[in-house]
Amino acid sequence: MKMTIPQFIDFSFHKINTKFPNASIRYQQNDDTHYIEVVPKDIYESGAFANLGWELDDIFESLCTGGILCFLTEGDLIKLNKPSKIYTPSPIQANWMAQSSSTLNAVAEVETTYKSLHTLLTPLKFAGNYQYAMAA
Amino acid sequence: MLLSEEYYAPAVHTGYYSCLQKVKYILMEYYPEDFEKLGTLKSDGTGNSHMDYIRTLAKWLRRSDEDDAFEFDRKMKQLKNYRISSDYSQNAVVESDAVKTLGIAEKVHTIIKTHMPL
Repeated sequence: MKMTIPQFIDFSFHKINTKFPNASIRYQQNDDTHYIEVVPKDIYESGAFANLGWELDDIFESLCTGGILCFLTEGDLIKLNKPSKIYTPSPIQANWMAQSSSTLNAVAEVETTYKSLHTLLTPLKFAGNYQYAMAA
Repeated sequence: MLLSEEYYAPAVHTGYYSCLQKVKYILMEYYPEDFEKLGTLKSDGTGNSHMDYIRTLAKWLRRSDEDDAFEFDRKMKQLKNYRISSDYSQNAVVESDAVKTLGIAEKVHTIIKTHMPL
């Protein structure tokens, strides 16, 4: 049995929320267009979101509603003025995500520093071996 | 030129149609079978012909780049709906939105140019 539009919208919110827990999502229907707004912009513009967007679009097309599914983000041409469904991540969750993100950044920074040191030390090691070889 | 003359709604109109005409041209020239089918749909009076053209080209773009195809698809849908609102509703089109529209149209042209033989 095919999903109804409200079921599809619930399904889409669930899929987006599962993959991007830090994203705010809003939905509004204007005439035949079903708008789903996803914020922040960096999630919306990511390749992972493009994959999910196509997955949802394919499902929407299979419902044969004759309507249009359109994804939006902040600062877009079309603005939602009366969204009928809204999901906002809780401040605790958003804070946790921000902390996780800064921890990940810190780890990435340490890795980069380690790689730089490793790159710097490797030729020295070879140079040392070379000197030993010359001495022998 | 339309922008400098403060014809913001016509700027939105031409921005959208420049993209749609390019889409139709690509389909007619390189995917004539698809283009013929869309013509049949249109004469039946069923469906939304603009969306059919957009979806068909998006389908071909997806074969070479999913991300760009998705960007093309969402930008064209926004342009299409904003053009309708700009042409038929009482809402005034302000300069910043007209500029934004032309920026989006330019991006659409770039995506088509990148992936389609012209």
